[in-house]
Amino acid sequence: MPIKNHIKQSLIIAFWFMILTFPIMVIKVNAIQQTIDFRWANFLWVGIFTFFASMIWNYFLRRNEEQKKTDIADDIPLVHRLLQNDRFRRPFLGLLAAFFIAYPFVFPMYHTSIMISALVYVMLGLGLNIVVGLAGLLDLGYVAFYAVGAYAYALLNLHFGLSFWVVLPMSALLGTLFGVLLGYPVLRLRGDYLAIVTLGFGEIIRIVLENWDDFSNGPRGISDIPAPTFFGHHFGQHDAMIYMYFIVIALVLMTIFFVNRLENSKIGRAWIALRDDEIACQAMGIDKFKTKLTAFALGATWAAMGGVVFAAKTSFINPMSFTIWESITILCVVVIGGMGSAIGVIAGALVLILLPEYLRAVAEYRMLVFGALQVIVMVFKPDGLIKSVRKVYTFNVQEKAIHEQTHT
Amino acid sequence: MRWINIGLGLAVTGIIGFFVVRELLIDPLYFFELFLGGLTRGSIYALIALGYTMVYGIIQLINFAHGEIYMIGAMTALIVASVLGLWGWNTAVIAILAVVFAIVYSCAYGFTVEKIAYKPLRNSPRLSALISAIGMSLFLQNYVMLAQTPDYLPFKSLIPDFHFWEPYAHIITSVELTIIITTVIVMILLGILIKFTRIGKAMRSLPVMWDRSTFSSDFWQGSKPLSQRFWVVSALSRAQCWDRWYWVFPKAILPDISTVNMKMYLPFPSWY
Repeated sequence: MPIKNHIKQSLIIAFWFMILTFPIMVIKVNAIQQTIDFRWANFLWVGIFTFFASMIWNYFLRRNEEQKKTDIADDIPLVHRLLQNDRFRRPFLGLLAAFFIAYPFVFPMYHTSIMISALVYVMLGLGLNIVVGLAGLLDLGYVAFYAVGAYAYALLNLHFGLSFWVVLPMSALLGTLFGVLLGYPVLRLRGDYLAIVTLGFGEIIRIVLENWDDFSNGPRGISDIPAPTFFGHHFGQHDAMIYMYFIVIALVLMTIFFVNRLENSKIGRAWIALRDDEIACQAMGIDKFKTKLTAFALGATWAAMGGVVFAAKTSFINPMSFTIWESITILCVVVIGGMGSAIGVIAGALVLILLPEYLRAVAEYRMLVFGALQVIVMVFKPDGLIKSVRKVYTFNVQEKAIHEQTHT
Repeated sequence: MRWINIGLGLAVTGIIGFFVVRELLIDPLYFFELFLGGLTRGSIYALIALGYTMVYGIIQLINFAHGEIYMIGAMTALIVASVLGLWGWNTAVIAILAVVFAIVYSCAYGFTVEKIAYKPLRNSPRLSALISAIGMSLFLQNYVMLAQTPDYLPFKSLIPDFHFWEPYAHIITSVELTIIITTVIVMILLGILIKFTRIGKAMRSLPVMWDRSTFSSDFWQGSKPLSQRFWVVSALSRAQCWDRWYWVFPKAILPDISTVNMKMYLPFPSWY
């Protein structure tokens, strides 16, 4: 199609959007003073903006289509290629490590603080990745386990004075327990039905916390949750933040290690197989229910640990921190990062949590931009930012045969 | 196991039934007021749910932006009604025009949202489309909040108190009556559309074909007769579009809360 047609098409789209946004963008009724404002400038801006936006949009859509046609085999993400290549692998990881170690000392406390939240989301994302990405169970109530962890630390500390380091493993166990308890009745369901039931469970936990005043202090929440100590030593505010940062880094590394090992283990393969084809899986003798339950419980374990860290970091929790919106954010982390790919989920969490913070420069427009970016990422990269790559074992029969022939 | 389930179900129903009957015996009039109020609310939700299920049934997507389109329908009706109200038009004309505009605009928005956020994702993982829908929902919410206002807005009642209805007005107001009647009519129309018209049949046939294992993208590349393809494609985009007609209708004439509360649509009304 020549360029003239593209311009014509974009003009039509711009005109369509001008009409579409007319009542909301242009007319503004002031009900108190009984006046109507017509903001005609907006009308023009919408037209100009959508014209260029649609030109760019269509250009990239066409490019995407063409790329899909030409190279199907060679679309392994850059990061994977970097990591597979031994020459780049070491320096790349070294640089990354240096950056993360230097981070809290170089940047001010505010940045350390938001980085901690982002890293907590890395943990949560990796946990949910087990459930959604690997086992293919859409869980919209993931925040329930996060709340369990956070409240476990807050309450155990309040009543029994247990420290962070004691509660952390306990909450992991508690998370697993809750995962099994909630998972047991709901895992008979499939697909979207499962999503809705888990959503219901997430809400139940939140509403119980909100209304059971004697137990959880209701909507007022629990404050003065102590930060973790270092062998009984308490830090000042600034040092406590840096300490927290390194704890989270350690936990994230542990999570990455575990998730990676799980993914390549027998049970990890069972999850992936279950995601791809349930019936074939059962025919192969995989216990469907047990496998699903393990995924659910292990995902919950990480959510609970993330909850403990969250409570220790913010030192104040209330049920409002655990709304459905939180579950959705974690799900976005997983899907935008790339389902089933650990590197993708890490990248997704960092982008998704840090981006709104840095978008504060555009203050009130930030959620607008954020929503639009979500759509754009999904349209142009439907498999996520860094998509998962299945392990491929190549065995070149011909080459081996030639090799053997030359030797004999 | 089965008997335990049945027993549990009966027990829950029994407990709820007991309280309902008790309320009825204590104060019948109050009971009916509550009942009809609930029915009015419920019928609006039912219409929204109908739109929802049409989208879900056809493109197999949990449409997170559904509530936002509903909100846009309400906003459009509100803007049209208040502009015409300030110009001093007749209330009946305003009501009709507000409804028409609400229908047309939410239809257009549904169409546009589908073209931008869902259509490019048809051959992608289902969760990607879900996230795209969430993004769209966030975008639309913030777009209206920025362009208009995040506050409560008054919505003047467009339905007069019918004279002939006065004797029963203490049980059910004429506004509620209008909502219930509209809902019933619209549901019947929708039923006819789905069952008997060509577009309805095309819509119903889609989920079967949409099964990923049997339905590949070859289908779009032209292996089927053109006319058939056309109907399928247009059914897909219109599923987004047609259903809006039905539920925006009562919302446009829903002054019973007398406010359009945008916060009510935050953050996932579609679920409730």
